[in-house]
Amino acid sequence: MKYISNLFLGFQNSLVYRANFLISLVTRLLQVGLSLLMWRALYLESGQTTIHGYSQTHMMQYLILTGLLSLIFTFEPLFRLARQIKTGKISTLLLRPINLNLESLSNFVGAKLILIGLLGVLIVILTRGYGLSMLLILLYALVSVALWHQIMFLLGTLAFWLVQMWPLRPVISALYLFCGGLLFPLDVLPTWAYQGLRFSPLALVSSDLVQTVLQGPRQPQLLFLYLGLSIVWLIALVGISRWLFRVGLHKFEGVGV
Amino acid sequence: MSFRLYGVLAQQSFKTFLTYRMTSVLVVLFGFMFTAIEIAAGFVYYSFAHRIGGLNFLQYEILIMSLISITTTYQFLFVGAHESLAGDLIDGNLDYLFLRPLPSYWYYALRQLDFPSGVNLLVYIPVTAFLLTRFPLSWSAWSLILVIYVVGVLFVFALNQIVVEISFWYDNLTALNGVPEDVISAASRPARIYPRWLQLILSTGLPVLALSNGIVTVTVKQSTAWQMLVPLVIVTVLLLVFSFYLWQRGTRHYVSAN
Repeated sequence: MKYISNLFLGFQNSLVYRANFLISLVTRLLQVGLSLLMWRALYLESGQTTIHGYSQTHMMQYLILTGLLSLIFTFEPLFRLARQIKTGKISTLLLRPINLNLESLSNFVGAKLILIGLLGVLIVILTRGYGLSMLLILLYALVSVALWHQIMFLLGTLAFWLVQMWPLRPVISALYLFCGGLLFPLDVLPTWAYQGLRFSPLALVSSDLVQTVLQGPRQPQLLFLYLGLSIVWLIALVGISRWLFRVGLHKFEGVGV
Repeated sequence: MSFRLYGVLAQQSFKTFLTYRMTSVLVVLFGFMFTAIEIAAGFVYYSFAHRIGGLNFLQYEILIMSLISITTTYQFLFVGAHESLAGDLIDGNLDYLFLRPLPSYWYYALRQLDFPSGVNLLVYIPVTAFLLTRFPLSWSAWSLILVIYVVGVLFVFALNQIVVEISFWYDNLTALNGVPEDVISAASRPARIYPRWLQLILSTGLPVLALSNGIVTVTVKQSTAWQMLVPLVIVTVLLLVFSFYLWQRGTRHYVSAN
């Protein structure tokens, strides 16, 4: 119940700081726009109607969907945890009978509640008529949200060791754009790179999820594979985060409280 | 602010760099990772076409490397101050700044060098220069490249300075801090792929295309690079003046919380 209350707090907070949402929306749309322009130019210059099996319409559809997903997958949990550690405010949270990971997750879900709802509606529209697959894709989307949060939470624990966290922003952003398939679908990469990246957490929450929405209902085995792997990654990352958090706490001095 | 004082501040920053070795090493690695990803993306794009937006692969990589050199130079010189301003305002840490007989704007902006970014620069600038030497460039062309580089760094500084100064009036507007980076990143492709109207806005109103495409354009057509430089210089001066004005207004608005 306490996490549900925290979720609603996160939701209310997102309504109070509306400008943050609007700014994030615009900057993400810029990124999507850039990918669309780049691929439009590529189709034009290559003189081909399909590249790697993607027609221009199909490619745009893919890029728009991954771009929309990126509105949910932001870096707030990482920098929120880092801020709590850096300012020493985490000391007060540690005294409370709460799980900090779940507290962070509920806050994140609360902040993204509207967008997660919209994603659900979009999935229902795009996969209507596929009954069970639709429900599984919805479940996969929810697991992806949890998995993304876990990646961010894990990286946030680095604040126990790192003095500055800002350099993480561009590198994670670039990794997400590349490995998450926001610049191009991962299967346009050489086979070895594609096979190496497609089962990574960043690909599972973004590129693979979109591919599943676009093809999944017709390829249920793909959906099961990605969903299963996402759950495995989620469990593994929760374990690693717990371990890192425990080790980090030994270094924590609580300065600033 | 005197050179002597700046030297002392640089020494302090260097000692910080040496003290926090793990952070420093990771920051350097993160910088190289970011660049590697950008370059790898170029390889992917050019596996489908020989020219994109009028640029061949080598020119595209010059575009990426020159832009990264400019933004990394900004990080080396100014990012430390920009990252801490919002927090310092809320914590009331500017009190110490105003007690000193120094121009607060420049003292705050220049007080911390980010040496890990300096290490990245030691690679980026020679690589960019090497890529540029693959083209026959005159001395005037090299001078133009140098001017675009310097003005570009000042442009990125002024843009970020304005954004962080908004913290004088609004706290918790965290999304705004990433806007300059996102806008610059959105301009990190060949200028000709953008629609004409957008090219016009991004070359004159907010000349981020001049920032990203300016140096590589010297290898294509020097006169076009000059045309890109003019709005970049004008807007940079305007942004610097505006950031200075905002700082004056902001410091008057500032209330100590310490």
